[in-house]
Amino acid sequence: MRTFLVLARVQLRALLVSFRVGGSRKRAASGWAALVLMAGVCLYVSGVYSFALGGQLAQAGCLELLLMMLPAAAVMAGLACTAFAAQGVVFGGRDADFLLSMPVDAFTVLLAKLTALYAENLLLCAFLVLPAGAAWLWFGGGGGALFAVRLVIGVLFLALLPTVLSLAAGYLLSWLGSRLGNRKSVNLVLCLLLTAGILFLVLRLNGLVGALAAGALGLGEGGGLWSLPLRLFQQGVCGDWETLVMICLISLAPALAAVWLFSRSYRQILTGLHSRGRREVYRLGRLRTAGRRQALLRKEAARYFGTPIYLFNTGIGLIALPAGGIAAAVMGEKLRALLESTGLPVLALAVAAVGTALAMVAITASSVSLEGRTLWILKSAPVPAGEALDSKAGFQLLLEAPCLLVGTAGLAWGLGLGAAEGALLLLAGGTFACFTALLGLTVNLLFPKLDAVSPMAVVKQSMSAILATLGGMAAAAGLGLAVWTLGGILGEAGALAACALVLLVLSAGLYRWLHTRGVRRFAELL
Amino acid sequence: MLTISHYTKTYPGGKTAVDDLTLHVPPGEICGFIGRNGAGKTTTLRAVAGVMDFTQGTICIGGHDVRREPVAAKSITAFLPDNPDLYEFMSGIQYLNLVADLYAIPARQREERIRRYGDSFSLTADLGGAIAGYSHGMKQKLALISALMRRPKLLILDEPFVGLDPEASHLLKGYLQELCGEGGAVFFSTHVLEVAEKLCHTIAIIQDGRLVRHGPTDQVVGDSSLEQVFLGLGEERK
Repeated sequence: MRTFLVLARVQLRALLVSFRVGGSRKRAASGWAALVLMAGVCLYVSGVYSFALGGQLAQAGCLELLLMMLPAAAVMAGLACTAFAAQGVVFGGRDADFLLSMPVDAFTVLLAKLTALYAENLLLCAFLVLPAGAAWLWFGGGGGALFAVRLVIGVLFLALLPTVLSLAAGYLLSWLGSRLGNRKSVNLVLCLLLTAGILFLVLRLNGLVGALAAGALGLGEGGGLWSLPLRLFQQGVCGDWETLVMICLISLAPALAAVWLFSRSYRQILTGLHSRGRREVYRLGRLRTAGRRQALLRKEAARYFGTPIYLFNTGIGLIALPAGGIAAAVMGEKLRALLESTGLPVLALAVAAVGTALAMVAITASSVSLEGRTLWILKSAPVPAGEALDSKAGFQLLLEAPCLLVGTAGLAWGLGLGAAEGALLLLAGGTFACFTALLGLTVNLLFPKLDAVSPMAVVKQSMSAILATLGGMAAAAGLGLAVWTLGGILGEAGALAACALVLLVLSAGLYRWLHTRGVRRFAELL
Repeated sequence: MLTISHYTKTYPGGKTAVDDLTLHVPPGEICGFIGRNGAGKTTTLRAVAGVMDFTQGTICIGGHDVRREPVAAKSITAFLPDNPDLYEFMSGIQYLNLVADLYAIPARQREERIRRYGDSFSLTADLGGAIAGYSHGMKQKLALISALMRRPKLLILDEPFVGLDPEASHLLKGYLQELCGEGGAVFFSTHVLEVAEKLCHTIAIIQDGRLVRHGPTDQVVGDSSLEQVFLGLGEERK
């Protein structure tokens, strides 16, 4: 038990370190302040969603569903967030050799590693489910203090479900990686499959909410066997202590079983995953040459398409942008009818949607951190620091440009915009893309994480990645709001043009900072 | 080729890693840089390579100040750190091609050089594989090929023999001598004193951030051995 506690503490410390900014006291304090801010934003968003959904469900007379929907969202979010973490921490950790060489049994090692994953999932579950509990009480669900106690107990055990699922998914990802190699095409297909999977689950959940809220299905029929734990969770926290115990056992048993199962052959699994397969003999032929700028862009592309977690985490926006545009073009009539009936500002909504998708493509926010221990290559090469930074922002813009073109063209077609309005939408989207790419790079230079144990820690957990994504989304919302409010004075098209101009000025400011103070910061790194 | 004048590096906490170091490595010379762990060797090498900024002094490579003309200085330099962390998302050949692109090595020359060094280090057949799957020694060989193929005027190496098999070590010594024969210079750190004694024209010994011995190898060693000189300095320090 003592060994487990020591190892678990190390794993949790490693998790916390991935968030820590380090350096001076002032920078560490600003890092913690940003963390608190992010936690506040998450709670706020989750709270708003819970209360909005709770209100609708209470009206439809099925408030109980709130305690199924939000836990389901928590499990899915946990799975999406920690599957790659499981791949990195459990099956790809750099400390595996060290841990396995110590006189500690594999069960303890695995249990300690799983504790770190569990901690991440617990945070997510708490952020998503506790506000739902507050909404439940607000809308007269009842239960009082005892309900709150049962909910906390339920959340403690619910977090085990995404942990176990992540463990299985992490193993699958590691296995696929070891069998298929680091092929860029495979990574791309994997990213598309994962995105499709998430979209399917989200649509399934949305469909379920709609059907249940409309009273088309009874509580007991709400989904198939997959929703059984969620139904038990809801019943347990609503007052059935026996069911609560059952859901606790249902969550705990597979977690322990999975740890036991993997620990039985942990060494063999790691050996199999990391052993090099038969190599093809390489024959040196003609080599393609490129200029310095092109070579730097190729390097960024190789890193992006060769690092699955990087591709997956920032690629969703790239897929969502053209997919959304095409969907808008196909469903144009319905979309126009909906917007006309609600009287919502068309251009403001369109630019906010484009901005939100672009904000998810936070490639530059991790690009400096991902240089990590290889930063010496770039710094010792005859490349001006400004050019190296330009290549990072340039690569993101090169990826975004075709997606933006398709996305805005589809939206303009679907919404029935004129040529001038469509061009303005593209211009605003383009300037927003420049702004977010440069913002991400700036944030990453201010909050670099060069000693991360894996790319996962940089892409998913680093301060710069989180701040740039949240900042980008806030900027997208602000952009929509600005177009809407200014639309009353300048007209929607005029407001869009004014916002594009402001974004251009902001981008120029960020570019100037990057080429002056940013270059100096880059020189100080390492 | 390399002139270091009054180089000082002080870390933000106030610790002085290297204090007022002055050193000159002329063309055609191999200079061995020796010192205990934490003496300031790596800090100095990284500053020379333009990877790390420093507090005071000047460092010039081929007449180019590494601070004022970093691109010009770096374009005639090759640096290899103590741990060859390379782009693991690339294959060996992709990495070499990237370096060749950054140093603007013409296509035919890069192919010839990669073939030459790749074959001699027995790595050509593995160049198609991902660097992530390379052993430490293979990564070290790949990093050496990427450095040698640039035909640098100044080669800066931090512990280059660590992880190399005896055959590769022997080859490397030959290539270092060849580079010097062509008018280049080598500045490298090592803990293998026997190698330093046999290979280097000059020896520089750093202790607690200060240069305590510098000169032709035979003068520094005298009638004893480099090991005895080094250990003697340690005794004096105590």
